[in-house]
Amino acid sequence: MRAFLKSVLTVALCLSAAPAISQQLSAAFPVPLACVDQSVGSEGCALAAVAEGFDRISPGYFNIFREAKLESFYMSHVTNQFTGPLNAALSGDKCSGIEAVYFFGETSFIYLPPAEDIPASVREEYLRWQAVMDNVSVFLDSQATGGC
Amino acid sequence: MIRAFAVLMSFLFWGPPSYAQTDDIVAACAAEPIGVGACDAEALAEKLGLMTAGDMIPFRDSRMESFAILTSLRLTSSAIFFNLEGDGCVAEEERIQAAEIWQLWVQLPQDALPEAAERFSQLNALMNNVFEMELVC
Repeated sequence: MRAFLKSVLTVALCLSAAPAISQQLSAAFPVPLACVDQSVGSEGCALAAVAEGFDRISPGYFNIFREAKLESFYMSHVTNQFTGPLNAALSGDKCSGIEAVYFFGETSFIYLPPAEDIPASVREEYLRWQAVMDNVSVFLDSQATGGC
Repeated sequence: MIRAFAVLMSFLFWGPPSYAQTDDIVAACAAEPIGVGACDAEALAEKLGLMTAGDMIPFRDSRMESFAILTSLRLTSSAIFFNLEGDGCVAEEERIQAAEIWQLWVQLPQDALPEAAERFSQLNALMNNVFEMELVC
């Protein structure tokens, strides 16, 4: 009985300590949901949480976009390009994201179709991913504005 | 004068010449091993290295992974250049990356547009020749 109570208590503690999945984009893209409409560095979208989320993106995350015949290789590529600079920004390096921001700015309009062309089955997740990417891009760009 | 006018009119009404007509080096290297006969390795590397997102439009129109195609072709260009410079080991690394992307991400959908299917067929044959290209590492 004591062992049972202990295991129940442990599970309860774990559940309360871990961020609820609903507060994240998804289990496969564990960035705070607030980052969809809040800027990186704001209270709900802390830089550390974003950097950690990008680090932990599941390799299979982009499969849903691939199945929807979107440019999933591009999406995966630009996401990976932001991961290093986010971690670098956490360490105080404000300049390592310049190249990735420039590349994203120069190519996203080519490879990312407008919302109305996205299959309904993945539209919501796609728009969330894109909003987070835009916010990260703006953040990394603003970091570099001070001079690199 | 008449010929120039005819060319201009055909361009205006039917667009630029098709890929198969303009890309002799790609066609040559799809038909022959790299560096053999009409398939000049340096010209091919230059051609692939200069490809842009604009060259991928037919693939995008067919909802293919056009960025994966472009990335793989650029890595192939790099592999050929390194090989020509005698750096076969680096060439091998570039080729492995190109092959991985090509094989994992690039597929011709059944409903692809005819122009995309034609281009893909040619590029796929070319890539097979690149994969068989002898490298000294």
